[in-house]
Amino acid sequence: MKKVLSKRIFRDFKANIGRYLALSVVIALCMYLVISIVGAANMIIKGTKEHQIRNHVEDGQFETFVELTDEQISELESFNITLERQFSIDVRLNNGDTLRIFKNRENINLIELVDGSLASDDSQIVIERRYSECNGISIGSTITISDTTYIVSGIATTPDYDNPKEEISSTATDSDSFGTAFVTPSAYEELLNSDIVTKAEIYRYAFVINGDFSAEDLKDWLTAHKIEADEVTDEAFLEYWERSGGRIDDLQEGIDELLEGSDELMDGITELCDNNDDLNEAASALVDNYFDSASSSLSSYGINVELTEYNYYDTLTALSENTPNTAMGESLTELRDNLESILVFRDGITEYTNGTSECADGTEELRDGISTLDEETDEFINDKLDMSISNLSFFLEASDNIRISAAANDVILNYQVGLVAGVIIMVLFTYVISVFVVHNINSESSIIGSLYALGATKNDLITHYITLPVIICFISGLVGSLIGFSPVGIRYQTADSYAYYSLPDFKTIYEPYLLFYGIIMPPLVAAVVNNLIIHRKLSSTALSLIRNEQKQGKIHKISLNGLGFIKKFQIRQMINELRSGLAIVLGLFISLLIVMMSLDCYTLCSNVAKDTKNDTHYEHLYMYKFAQEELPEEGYIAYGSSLKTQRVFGYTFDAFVYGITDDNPYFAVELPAAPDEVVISEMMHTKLNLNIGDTLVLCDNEENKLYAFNVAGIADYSAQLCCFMSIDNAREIFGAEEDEYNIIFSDNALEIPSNELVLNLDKAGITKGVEVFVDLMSGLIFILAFASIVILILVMYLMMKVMIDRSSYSISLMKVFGFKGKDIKKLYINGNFYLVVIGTLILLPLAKLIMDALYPYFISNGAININLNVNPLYMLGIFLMVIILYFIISTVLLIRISKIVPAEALKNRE
Amino acid sequence: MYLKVKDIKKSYGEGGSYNQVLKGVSLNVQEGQMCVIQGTSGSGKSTLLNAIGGLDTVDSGSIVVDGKEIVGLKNDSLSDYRKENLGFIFQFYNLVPNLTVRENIEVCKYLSDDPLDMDELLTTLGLVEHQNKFPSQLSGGQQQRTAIARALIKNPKLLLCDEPTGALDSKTSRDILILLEEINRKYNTTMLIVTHNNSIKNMVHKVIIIKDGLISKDYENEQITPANMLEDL
Repeated sequence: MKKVLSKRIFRDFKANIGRYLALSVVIALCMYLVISIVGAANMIIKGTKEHQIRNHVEDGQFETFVELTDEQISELESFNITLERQFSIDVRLNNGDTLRIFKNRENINLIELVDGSLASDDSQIVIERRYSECNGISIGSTITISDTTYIVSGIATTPDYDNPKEEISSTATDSDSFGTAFVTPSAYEELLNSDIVTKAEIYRYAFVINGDFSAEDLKDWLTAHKIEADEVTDEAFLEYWERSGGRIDDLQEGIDELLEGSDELMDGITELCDNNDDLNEAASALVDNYFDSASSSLSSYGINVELTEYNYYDTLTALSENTPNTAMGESLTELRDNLESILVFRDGITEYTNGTSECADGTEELRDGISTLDEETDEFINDKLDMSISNLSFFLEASDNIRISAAANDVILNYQVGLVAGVIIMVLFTYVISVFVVHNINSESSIIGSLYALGATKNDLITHYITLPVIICFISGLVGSLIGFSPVGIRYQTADSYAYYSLPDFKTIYEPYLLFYGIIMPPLVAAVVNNLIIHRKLSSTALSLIRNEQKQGKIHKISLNGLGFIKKFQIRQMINELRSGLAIVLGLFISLLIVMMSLDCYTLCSNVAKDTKNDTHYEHLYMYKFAQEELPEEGYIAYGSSLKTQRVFGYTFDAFVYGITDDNPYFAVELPAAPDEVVISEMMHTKLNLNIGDTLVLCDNEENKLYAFNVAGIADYSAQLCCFMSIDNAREIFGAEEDEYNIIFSDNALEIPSNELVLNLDKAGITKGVEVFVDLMSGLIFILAFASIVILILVMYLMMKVMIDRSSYSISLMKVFGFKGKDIKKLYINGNFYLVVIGTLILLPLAKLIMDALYPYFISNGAININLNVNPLYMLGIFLMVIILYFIISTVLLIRISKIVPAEALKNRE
Repeated sequence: MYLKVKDIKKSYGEGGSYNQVLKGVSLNVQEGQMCVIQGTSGSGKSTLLNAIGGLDTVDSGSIVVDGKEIVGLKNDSLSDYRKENLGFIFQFYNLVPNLTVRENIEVCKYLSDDPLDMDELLTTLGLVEHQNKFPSQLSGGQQQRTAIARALIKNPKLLLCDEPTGALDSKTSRDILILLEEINRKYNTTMLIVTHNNSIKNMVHKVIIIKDGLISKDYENEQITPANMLEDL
């Protein structure tokens, strides 16, 4: 019997080739979709990991003000840390491009050649892959730097420049104008000494941790190693040092000068005091001489009186008043006044010498005080203020380095979307298969019953009925998987990553779970579903099967009195074809979910670009390495700091705190007065799910500090994960001086040396950086949209065709009665119009809601604003697309209806 | 003459499997006549009925119904022909299982511009109390009465009945035949009844017997036995 039954398999396939081909296309497409999306993401993620392992990716990197000494390097190596100097210089090419030149590498972040060989002599250079692709550089091309021409010996990638951004802080990656290059050590030295270098050599070390000494320990060790400021050559630092740490020297110098001055003062005054006694004695002698001389003069006039300082006034006054000689009287008065003056002079001298003596005492005290001040200041500075500086200027762990694993991080979204789509698709096609099986089993009911009655076993029948669907599903899955793993699958999906990131050629990974999903799962699902349904069917009696008795639920017996015939018939038909109708609704829902996944992806990326462009009102943003005091020529100053958020879905993000002035025209923010309050950006609101009244906690990893702010408002600013406060509050919180700033927003470019800046952004660069997301995601967006349309068409077509097939008997009966094709379509198909319209009206917003809820998880690794507000026209477009597809499919199905002949009804025999 | 069939031939298959089912059948039926077509299995009676019903094409010959030639008509015209002229009654009722009795009848009512009164017909056929039942809830006789009601609702001029009592017991068969008789009388409906049942030929006006694709006998009953008097049903 088995042999006889097996002959029917091919005949069944031939008879229903259209249906089976459509099912095959759905399965193959689904498998292709999931395998290509997930496989591509997996290839990038795993390939990146292997690339990193193969090339000894750094665990982190740091920069120092001065080169580490050999002893320091040896000490670090004794902690089981591998270090490699990866110093670089930036050179400007004739066409304006910047090449960052490194020496060939030996231990860390090794150069992986995509083509050619490493630079082996001083005339050769290896160019990073993306820059070479963007600039049409290939092996044998020449590059002229300064007056030296280099021959390109290799095209390569390195794991530390996965995303070849010029600056870590850059928003955009521009491989048209920036790339890395590698030369021999001697060629590097030669370039270092040339005048073409645009940026001073950076003392950057890459490190790999091999033991227990952690990155944190390394950072502490580096921080603890001090240098003197005068060892530093960084001009920006020196300028800052002059304004900050350098002022202690000024203080010390001032005190020294003061001490020196006080010494000189004391010496002078002492010298002045030395003649005080002589001066006093001379004044007394002068007074005595005057009085003696006056007494002698009076004697010559016959007046014998000895004048003293005690009697001269009264004596001379009396003599003057009693003499009849007027001239004599006047002379006596004049003598009296002269004696009085000489006494005043003498007393003045005495007062002066007393004063200088007191001054000498005070000066000595002053000098002692200044000396004490000098000693105490020195002691305080030496004991309490460590005025040496840490040699560490920059420290970045690999996990925080956006150049590393950038491509892998970007495709995590694809991976998540692919996996979710995979599950959704599996549910769909399991259901579609079940509808097919139920239809098949019902239409074969009398045959099954007859065979059962004739003695066929359950196993014979199950084997017979599951063979064809299992084979179809296996072949379709295999075909879908093969296409998925082929260049038009995984390779096609990775094209966007290769167009943006500097990656080596990764090998396609044949993941066992993907192979299982693509090849084993479809036939397995078909076998299980068939098995269950046939088992259930075979639980009926043979007679019941022969009579094809269908059980009708209560819903089938619903009363429809009062409705018009057409409506009544359509409702009956929809109830009768509930399973197929549900499959259409499910297919519609899944298609809408997938299309919404695509639309949300597009919306998210385009809104990021649009919002960033609209919200970025400044043209330039400069962030200094060190705080500044002198006001810029133009622009608006701010004081800010880059901190880290708490973990959100397992990821931390850089978050800026901007302390801005009230008159800053670039941000429409009402700044809170309280120092612990901030206004958060829209991006922070959506990404961190923070609202007014919540607490924003940010972390300064370098300083090991936590900051907690109350959210006082939400600014309509989506371009950055940031928050705002007043500049004064920011200065106070981050320990800056009253008039310091470290950020300038401006409309025009300012001439600030690049080595003074930690961040240099311009609106064009920011915009370009975010616009790339749409390009990056276009492959995924397109394939999801395409797949959703194909799935919708096929599911709708297949299920509506199943409805027609299941109703072929009654359709032929209708034809017997005189109904024409269009009338029959109206009765049997058009009821689905309401199903599709109502289904779309309900499911479209539902799919949008579900995807909107899922997207924050999909992009949990990205610091981008989650704005999924879609243009309503797109929703209308999708609705119209569904309706148009429905009309096309129902029109196509008229052909199938026309093939049902009236005589079909006459074949019906019990 | 309401129905004129002239020399129709119909064959199936090619080469070795070639089988000529109708080899030149001619017959005439007058308006209002009840006509029985009898024959053994494979004699071609159902093929003849299908050809007259416009459900199957013929190789040659002519079929004129109410003055209109139907051989050679296209599908749409054949649909119009069936819609305007014919009612069908099948051996196994062929009701639409997911429609109630009333709804099954409404299917054909919808096709007619001048249908009979539904309630009157339900009363005539004794289906009033069953009108909201589904076919699976009905007995064979009730189902066949529903099928008859469905065929009659559009007041057809020609009623084609393929073994109308073939699936029914004797008593129910008699009831159905009485019903057909009443309808013929009431509505003057021309009827072609294909049957194996020998007794039925006694209640009709005309009897045609087909054998091997040819008409072997074609006669009109001189004496008609009312259906309720028929024996051996």
